[in-house]
Amino acid sequence: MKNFYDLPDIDEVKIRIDIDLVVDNISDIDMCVVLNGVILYDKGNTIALSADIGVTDILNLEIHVNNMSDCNSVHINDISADGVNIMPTHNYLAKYTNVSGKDTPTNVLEFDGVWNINTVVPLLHWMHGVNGNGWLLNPMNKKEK
Amino acid sequence: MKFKDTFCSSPWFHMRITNQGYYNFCRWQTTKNNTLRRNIKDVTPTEYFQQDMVGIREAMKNGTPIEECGLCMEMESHGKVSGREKQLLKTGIELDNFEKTTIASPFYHEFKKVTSDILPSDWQIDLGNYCNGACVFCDPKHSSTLAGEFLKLNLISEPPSPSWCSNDVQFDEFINTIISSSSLAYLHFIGGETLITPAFKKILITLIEHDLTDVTIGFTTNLMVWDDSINALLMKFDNVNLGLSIETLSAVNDYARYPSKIENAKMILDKWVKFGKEHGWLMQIRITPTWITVEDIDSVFEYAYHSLIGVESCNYIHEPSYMRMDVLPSEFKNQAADRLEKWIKSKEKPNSTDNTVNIRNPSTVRSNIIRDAISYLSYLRRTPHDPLLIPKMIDFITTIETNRGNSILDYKPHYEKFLRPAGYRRS
Repeated sequence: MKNFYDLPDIDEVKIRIDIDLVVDNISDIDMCVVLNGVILYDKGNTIALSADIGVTDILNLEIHVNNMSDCNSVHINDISADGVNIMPTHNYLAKYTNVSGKDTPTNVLEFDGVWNINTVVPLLHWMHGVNGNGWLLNPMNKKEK
Repeated sequence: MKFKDTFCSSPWFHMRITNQGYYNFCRWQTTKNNTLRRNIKDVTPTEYFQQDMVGIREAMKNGTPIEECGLCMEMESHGKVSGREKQLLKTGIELDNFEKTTIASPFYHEFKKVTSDILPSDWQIDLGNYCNGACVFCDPKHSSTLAGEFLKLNLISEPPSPSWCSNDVQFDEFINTIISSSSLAYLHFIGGETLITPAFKKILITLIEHDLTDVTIGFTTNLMVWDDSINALLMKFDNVNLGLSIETLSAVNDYARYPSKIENAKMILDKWVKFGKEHGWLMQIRITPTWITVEDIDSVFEYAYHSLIGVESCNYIHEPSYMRMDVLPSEFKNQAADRLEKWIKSKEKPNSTDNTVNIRNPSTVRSNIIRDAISYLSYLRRTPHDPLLIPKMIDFITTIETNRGNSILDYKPHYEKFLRPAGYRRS
C-alpha cells in the first residue's frame, strides 16, 4: 500500500471472530450463540465457531444456556478477534444474567441464563480502551476515556 | 516507503503555536529554511488549521515522505516511541494492525478530506519565553533569562520578538478559537516556564469560566517554581498531565539547568510527585539528554522507575547542534552507553510483545522507561561522533562559563581528556 487511496473499501474489511467453547454433557443443554443478532449455533456438537463482522461494527455476543443441571457447564475457552484474545482476558466486562442471581463475571456458565459481551462502541475502539491505549479522539466529540 | 511508514493522523486534529506566534502543523515538526511561515498576526488559528494545512494532509494521504517529519523517523529508527506513533494512537491507529485500525478510526471520514471544517482537538501552546531558568542547551526564544545573558555576551544582537500572548487582540482571538471547539481534548503548554507566565493562568481561568474543565491540561515545569494559586486552578480540571524537567539527579544538573540547584530541584520534584499522585495526575519526567548529561541519565530512569512515573523526551536534541550527544568522542560515548546498559540490565526486561505506544499507560510505565532507555542506548551506540561540532561547543561553553563562573570540569573532570586538546582553557 503506497497511499491512502490504496486502502480497501470499508465494507470489504472484516474482523474474524473465533469462539471456542468447551461443554460438559452437551446433550442435556439447550444452548444458543448469537453474534450481532445472527445465530451461530443452537444445536449439535460443533463448538468452534467463526464469523466475520464489519471493521466498524460493535460486537454483541450472546450465549444463551438453558436446561443446565449440576453435571453440566459451558466453558468459554477463548474468544478472539483476528487472533487477539478478548475472552477470558476481559471477562470482567461481560454480563452473565442467570437464574442463580449470581452475576459475577465468569467464563464458566453453570446456570440457565444469558452470557453477553456488548462492546457498545466499534470493537476496535473498545479494544483500544481495554488494552490501555489511552485517548481515542473523535472529530465531533470529546475524547472517549 | 510503505504508506504505514509515513502516514500520520496528526494534521487532522492537532496544531501548535510557537512562542513568536508562528503556527506549526505538529509539535514534533522541524521547520524548513526559506519556508513561508504563517503567524497569528496574519491568519487566524482556524484558517491555518482548516486551509493552510491542506498541503500537509495531501502529502500524508499520498504517502509522500515529509521533510519536516524527520525527527519522528529518527526516533522510530532507534526504537523510541515517536510522536507519529503517539498521534496515530490517539485516533485509534496501530502500526501492527494499520489497515483495519485506520479504516475503523473515528477520523477515517476526516482523512478523506484535506480541507477541514473542524477545529483542533489537541494543541501545543507555546506561551512565550518568560523563564527564570537559563538551561545551557536552551535558546533565547525559550528563555528570557538566557536571552538577557546572550545579549550581554553578544551571542545575539537583539532580543527575540515578544510572545504572541502579549498582544491582547491575538490572545483573545486564540482563546475564542479554543473555547469554541466542540471537540477540544488536550492543551499542552510550554514556555518559558509555564507557571510564571501570566497567560497560562489566564487560559486556565477562562477554561474554568467556560466549564471546560474536562479538557486535559498538560504543561511542563522547570522545578524552580511552586505556586499554590496555580495548583488550586489545576485541581479543578479532570485530568492534568504534568511534565517535570530535570536532566539528572546528580550535580551536573546544576550546570545543565543553570541556575537551578539539584537539592532544590529534587525537593520540588518530590513535592510534585507527591502532589500529582494525590490528585491522580499523569506525570512524566522530561529530559533533554545532551553530551553534558547523557552519562548520568540512568539516575533519572532509576528515580522514575521507583516512583512509577514515566520518562519522556520529545526527540533527540538537534539544536543547538553543539549540545548533541554525538559531540562526545567514541570513548566517552561508549562509557555513557556502558553505564546505561548496566542500568537496563539491572531491570526486568520488557516483554517483547508488549509494544505499548501509549507511554502514559500507568500499568506499563516501567517497561516504557526501559524501552526509552534502550532507545538512548541505541542512539549512543549507533550514532557516530561528530568532531565538527566540537569547536563551536568549546567557544560557546567558554563564553557562557566565563559569565557564570563555573566550569564543566567541576562536574565532569574526566572530560578534560577531550576538552583540553580541543582548545578548552578554563580551569
